[in-house]
Amino acid sequence: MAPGNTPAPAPAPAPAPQPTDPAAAAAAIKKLHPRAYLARFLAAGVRPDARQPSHFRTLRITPSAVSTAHGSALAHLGQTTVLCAIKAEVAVPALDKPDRGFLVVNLDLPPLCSGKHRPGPPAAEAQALAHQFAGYVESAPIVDLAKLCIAERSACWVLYADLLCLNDDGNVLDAAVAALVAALRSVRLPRAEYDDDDGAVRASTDATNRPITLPILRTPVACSFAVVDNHLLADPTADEAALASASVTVLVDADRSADSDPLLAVTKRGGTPLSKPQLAQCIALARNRARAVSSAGLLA
Amino acid sequence: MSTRIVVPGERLGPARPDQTLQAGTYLRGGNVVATVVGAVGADDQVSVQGKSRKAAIPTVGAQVTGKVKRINSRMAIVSIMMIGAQPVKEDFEGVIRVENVRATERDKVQIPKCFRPGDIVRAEVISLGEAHSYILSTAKNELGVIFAQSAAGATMIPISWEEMQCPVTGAIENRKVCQIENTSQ
Amino acid sequence: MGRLELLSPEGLRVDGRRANELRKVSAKTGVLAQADGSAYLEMGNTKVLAAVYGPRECRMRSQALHDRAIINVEFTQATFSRIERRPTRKFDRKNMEVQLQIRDTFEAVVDTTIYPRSQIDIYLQIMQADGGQVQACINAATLALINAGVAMRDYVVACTVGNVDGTPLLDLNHIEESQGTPEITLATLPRSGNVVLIQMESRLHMDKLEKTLQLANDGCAQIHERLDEVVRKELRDLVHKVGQHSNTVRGVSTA
Repeated sequence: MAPGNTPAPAPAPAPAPQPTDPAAAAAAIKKLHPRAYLARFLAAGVRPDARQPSHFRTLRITPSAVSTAHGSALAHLGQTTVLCAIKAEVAVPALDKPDRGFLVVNLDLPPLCSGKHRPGPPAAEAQALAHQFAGYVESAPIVDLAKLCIAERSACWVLYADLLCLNDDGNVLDAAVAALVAALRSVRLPRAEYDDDDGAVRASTDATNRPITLPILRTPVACSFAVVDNHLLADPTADEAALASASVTVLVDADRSADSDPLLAVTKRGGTPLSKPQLAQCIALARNRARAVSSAGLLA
Repeated sequence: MSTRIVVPGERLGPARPDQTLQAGTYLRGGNVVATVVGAVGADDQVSVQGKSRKAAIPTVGAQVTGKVKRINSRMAIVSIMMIGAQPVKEDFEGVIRVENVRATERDKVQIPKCFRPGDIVRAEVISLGEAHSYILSTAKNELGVIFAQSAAGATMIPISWEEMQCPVTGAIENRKVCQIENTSQ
Repeated sequence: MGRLELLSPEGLRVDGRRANELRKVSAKTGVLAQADGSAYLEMGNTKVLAAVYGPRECRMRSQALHDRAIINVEFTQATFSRIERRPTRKFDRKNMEVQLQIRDTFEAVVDTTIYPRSQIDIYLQIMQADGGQVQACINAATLALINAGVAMRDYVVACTVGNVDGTPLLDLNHIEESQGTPEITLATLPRSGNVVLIQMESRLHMDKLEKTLQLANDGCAQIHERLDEVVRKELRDLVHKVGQHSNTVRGVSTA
């Protein structure tokens, strides 16, 4: 049907529909050559969302977002949104830890949060993320679990912290840690009494009966970075993370970021090797970020 | 002029006997009814403005742009990334079979001399292909490879309808080249 | 211990409403940036988040239909949606039934023939459950589909009704639902009044059916008004922002 291709290059016949305005042309380049698209911005020292490579997105916390939970918070990191709801139930303490309660965390990335998460069992990436998150919580306890004891050896509170990512525009981990910390701070538990006679736990008959708040041991702030073509990008968006050859997360205790000992965890799972100065830069940026988040009173 | 906003299910007007239905409408009981939210066009045309995200899926005859994912002796498998000038949110899969690469000498086509993984190609959808991928064709002058990198990693320059040259090493590689991109300056 | 009195002699329900009174309906669309369309809807204390992805390529290409889109619905209740925490179970039969109901509802209304070989995903997340989850999901899904620009023949609006001693009750909350009242969920297409979905859980005497269905239709009409208000207001705001920048698909209208 179409005129055959002749060996000699002929002038082109009907023109193809080219994007005529700059915005459409930019969208085409972003789609077809994402790496080159990002590289153009980085060469000018900025990122597509106008941030500096070392800048984090704005963190917004809405505490007590879920009225049916004992504690909750909604964290927005740019467009990335994570909801944390904490519900408390009564349980029997562990045999080897009779004087403390439990904190069980679960981070879920449902299909509605992004096109790349499909229904069915969670993808390997989502599972790894949830596991990394749980690991941070366990290694750097945020609340004193002893306060969750109702009666030694007989009864204690177990806090179920369920985290739900509602929108994934990159760096769910940082948003999840922030949501969990804020939610734990907002927990209000009824005072409970354990009845030796029938082994039941009841709400305290104390007239004052002020709800219990949890004593905070530390305020972890997670700061994640992506390495794209040897540029270190703080708090990567979904587009940037897709092009990353390595990623690093630094967990800093915001209460001690001015101290000499603020580091709680550093994670880098393979990928392009980082030089020592680059790693030091990550840690320095993370300390600054933790200080900024803390002084803004976001996690209070 | 005021724009009349319509929502799905809203009646736009009676259907005229010689009228072709516009996108965003359907016929119900002799009336033209909207199926998406939008503003009705200014003139007498009954058409509905949808969201800016038009052409959500490839249709027969549409020109698409995509990246070659892999090749074998019979076809090139392409990730369709743009429909017309519009990027898609999620890629669709398409194939360019040997017989649809070019219009002449169709059976003498060797896929590795036409497409390589990583090439960006412009193609036309010729069939929705039953339960398989979209069937694409590059059998026109203005279809074919619009961007390719040489073995040395440099962006190649097209020099004919079937050859591209690496600017760094001078090596010539075979591709089914799209002739719009001829840089003749 | 007698049954909880759902309707007092003065005609007040447990939450202070009258028998034919709907709970407060509020909604917002376009609340999730990643999704193609989204909506957050509250009916009283029942709160739903809906996200639509698509039309996009079918995940399992063997399932694709050559002449139309397939619709896939996922319905989940958040662990914190009720007073008591409910852990997510992998294969919840009730959830699957709801998913199929909602899918069949929208398959009849979405113009699937213009998106052949593709898939439209509707994800529904119950954030808080206080009765009428299915009706809230259907209403939220309508808004999310409209927000995504998916072609639909009409809105789908849904409503629940119950019946207590012959008096129909509109829009049951959780307490009312758990008292074993006969409950009907009705989903209609507002323009034609045609019924897309009707689900009745317990027995209801034929005499009472007509009055109950009538109230359900009234409820649907009210909900349609509210949803339409939200859609039009948001579209007006958008049109003003964008100005007269035209996206109209022009073609031949007359021969």
